[in-house]
Amino acid sequence: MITRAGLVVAALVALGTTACGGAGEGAHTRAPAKDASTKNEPARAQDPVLVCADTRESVPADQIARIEIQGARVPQELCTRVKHGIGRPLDDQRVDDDVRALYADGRVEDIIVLREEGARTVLVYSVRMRPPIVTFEIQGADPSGALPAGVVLERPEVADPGIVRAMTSDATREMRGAGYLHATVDFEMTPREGGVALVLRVAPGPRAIVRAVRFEGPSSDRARELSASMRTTAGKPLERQALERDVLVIQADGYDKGRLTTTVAEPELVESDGGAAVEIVLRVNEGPVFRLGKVSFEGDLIGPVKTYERDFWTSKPGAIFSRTVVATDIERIRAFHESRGSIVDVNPSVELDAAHEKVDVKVRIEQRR
Amino acid sequence: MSPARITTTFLLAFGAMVAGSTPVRAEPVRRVVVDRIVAVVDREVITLVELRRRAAPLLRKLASVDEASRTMAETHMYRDLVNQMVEERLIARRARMSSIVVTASEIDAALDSLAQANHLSREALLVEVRAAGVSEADYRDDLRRQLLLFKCLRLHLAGKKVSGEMNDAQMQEASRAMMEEIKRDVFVEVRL
Repeated sequence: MITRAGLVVAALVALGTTACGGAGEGAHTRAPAKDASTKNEPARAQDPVLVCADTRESVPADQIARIEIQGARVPQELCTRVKHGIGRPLDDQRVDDDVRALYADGRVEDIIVLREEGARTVLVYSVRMRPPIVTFEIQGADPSGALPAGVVLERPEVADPGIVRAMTSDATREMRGAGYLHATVDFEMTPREGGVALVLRVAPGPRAIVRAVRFEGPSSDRARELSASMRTTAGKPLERQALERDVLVIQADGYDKGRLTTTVAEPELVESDGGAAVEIVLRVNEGPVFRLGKVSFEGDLIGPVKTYERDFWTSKPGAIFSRTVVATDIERIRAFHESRGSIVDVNPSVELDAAHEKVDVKVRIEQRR
Repeated sequence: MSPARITTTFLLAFGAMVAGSTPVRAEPVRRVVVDRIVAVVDREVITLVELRRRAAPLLRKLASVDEASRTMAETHMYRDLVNQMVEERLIARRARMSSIVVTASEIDAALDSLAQANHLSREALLVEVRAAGVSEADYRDDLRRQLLLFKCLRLHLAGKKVSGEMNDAQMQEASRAMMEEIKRDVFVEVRL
């Protein structure tokens, strides 16, 4: 796995070459998907100017006398997002905060802030507003307009490729999670009179039905036992969330049966029938069964160690380790302390002795300060 | 480097951003770009002010370069820096989604580890850092970003078949693959 040495090398590179060194080849940004707007074009000279603040008197040249927002279709309320004051020198950080606040409005696509130095110094927020969505169409939905997996695609107010991409990515993820393994949702924005036409294209593809769940590693009896605890079963549609839960359940079951080195690899999906059927391969390495070795208690104890061992710790040395039993014992200790007016954190740490297949547990009790 | 020089560089590097936007006013005015959006990552922006701040130590290094090559070097530096900042935002986004954080004590531990690797005390390492024109706060920030990348990478590799320890080339490849995966679902636009 990754070593600390790797980190050290990376940090040294950063130290030696400063910020650019760690970047490697740098990000390869892609153009927005069929975005209808024109980039890097500030507001035009004839665009209207909205005056947000004006001293209406002469102020020294190093102070801002007036603040404007320039651009077409700029709503009046945008001024409330500009916090830079008048009658004071230019504050870069405040301007930067304003740029973020204006962009966060969602309707602003681009901003350039200019300082106009003439008889009076004017701070101009030159903005380009996003065009409105004038037509919205979803292609690929069933005749009733419904989409698979209960996915809902709502019409955005303005042509914001960031929002539309987030929406289509979420929809794709939801559909794939519900078993539509090859689902795609794409979009296209086209300039139209008065705004932009947005088309979303949904291609769900077939929904995968689980043909079989196959275990690699455990015995056939154990595989049957594990299968019984799973929600993913043959004959039903594949549900990613259920499969993720199943992996955790298998792992937890191992921990409760003393198999503390249990690992479950990411499930492999073997598709057939063009994605309409899927076989799930679960590779489980359960390892040996560990038994409890020494148990010790330390920290802010409020009674003799024997009391903790006798009254609260039910797992005895030699017994098969069970995480659930240990968790219950820990809860018992916490409740005991609470009944005596002491709120504590009880943190167990384990040390595996692989050669003897034993696990020592150290229980640290810490009073909350 | 004076603010005027930075402004000139940006006008050269990014084209005449304000051309055509001269307002109709009676008196002659000079328009100076104070800030602008240089990149968008998902719903967040990277601004010129932020970029200039990050570029300051790099510009100090370039000050010794001759005038003719400096403009070109600065243009490349800004482009690389924006791309790097975009990747950092993507990593930060992934970390937020996966509830990954970097604590102050982890940064301290990384500092100590670096100092030890260079046979220095932490204080001596920070003296070297400051001598290189980087403040302690910026250096800690840099370490925090690297640790965040490291943790995201570890999460990315969890469940994948990785045999033994990875060498630097494998780590870089894994990092590249992770960035590609992260970018797939995120809107990224650089406006240089």
